[in-house]
Amino acid sequence: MKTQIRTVKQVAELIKTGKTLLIAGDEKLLKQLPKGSWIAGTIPYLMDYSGGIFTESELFITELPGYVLSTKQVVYDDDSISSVYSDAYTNGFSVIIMPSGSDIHSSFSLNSGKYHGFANKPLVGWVSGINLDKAEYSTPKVFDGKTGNSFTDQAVVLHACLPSNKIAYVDIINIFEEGTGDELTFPVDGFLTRDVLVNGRRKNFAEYLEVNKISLKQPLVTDSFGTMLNTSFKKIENNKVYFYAPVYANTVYKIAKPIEDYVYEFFKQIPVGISKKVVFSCNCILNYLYAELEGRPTFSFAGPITFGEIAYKLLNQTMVYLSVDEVV
Amino acid sequence: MTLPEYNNSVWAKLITGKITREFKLFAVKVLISELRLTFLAQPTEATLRTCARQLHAFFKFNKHNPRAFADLMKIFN
Repeated sequence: MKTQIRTVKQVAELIKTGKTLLIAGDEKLLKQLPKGSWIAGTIPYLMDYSGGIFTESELFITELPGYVLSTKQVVYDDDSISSVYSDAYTNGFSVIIMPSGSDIHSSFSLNSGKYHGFANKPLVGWVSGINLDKAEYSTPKVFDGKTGNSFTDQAVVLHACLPSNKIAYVDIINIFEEGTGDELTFPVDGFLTRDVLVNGRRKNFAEYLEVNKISLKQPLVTDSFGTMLNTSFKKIENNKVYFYAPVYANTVYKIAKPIEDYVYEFFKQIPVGISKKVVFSCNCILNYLYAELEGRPTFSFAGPITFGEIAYKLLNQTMVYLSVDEVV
Repeated sequence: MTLPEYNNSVWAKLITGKITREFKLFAVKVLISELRLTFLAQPTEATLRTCARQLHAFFKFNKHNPRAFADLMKIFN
């Protein structure tokens, strides 16, 4: 993976030489970049090989490998996002960035599974965010380098075409697993709920969490054919429970087992020899905060710290990565 | 291995959960989970047929993907 933390000037020079870049950083820095082959999202939290970093003065770049044959950038709104797989190259991958809290964020998370050709082609990406200490003064944004325009309510996608001897894979590292507690289901899909069915019996979810002394740091986990998928808790307000990604009706969840050592658990799950094949990766802001990753090494991975990770669908508290393999 | 037709009953059984497998490719896991949700939201024969077609189309599109092929072998062997 070719990633670097660089100044605006250095990134601008790379863009001018024709490099195709995925960029993460502060809005005021992104605004200064020249037009070119890049997409970006706002975030001051980054994951370098040496550890988590907070910076509002430098940018994080992922440079696409030289073997990428061609790329195209597309800005999607609520109406057009459903064609994201149709627009992708037959053999390649697509990287998507969307602003946290936007309509497209909500729409994508609820509907991505219904898009034509869902999961047929590799789609990976992240949800842009802000400095949590300045939440009331700023809005998450994405940038399309082709025009230099920024957006608060649209998604940017960089579609990349691979030669026939290469193939891209989307994978995740999720350190959470199902706990041994109750089976939880929800009456409807959505980002918030008042009620939960606990082993089939309807209860108020906020009260259930309080009575059972469940930490909101432990996500809901569902088993998807052996891979655990998380839905993280955002807050409890007015007796309602809010999530960072939707819960779905007809899905059985459990509260995750508590994690004692986040970094050790990550390390255990990293596939041997993967680092040379990884083209892009990102990790969740909640892992950054709860694992206190600032200044702690994250081993083979570097990339933006995100307000949501995308591996075909919106995920929470997960590391997502895209690797490219040789086709034998 | 030749890709079985979309009307092969195994596709439908995967979607309804009558049979299950441990898959290698993340895309397969996510896709079947989504198709299962679609079916459970509207559990009709028509929905099942549509979902089975979509799953079949995935494997047809990814016929040269080694991990998809490995998962296909798991499904039908």
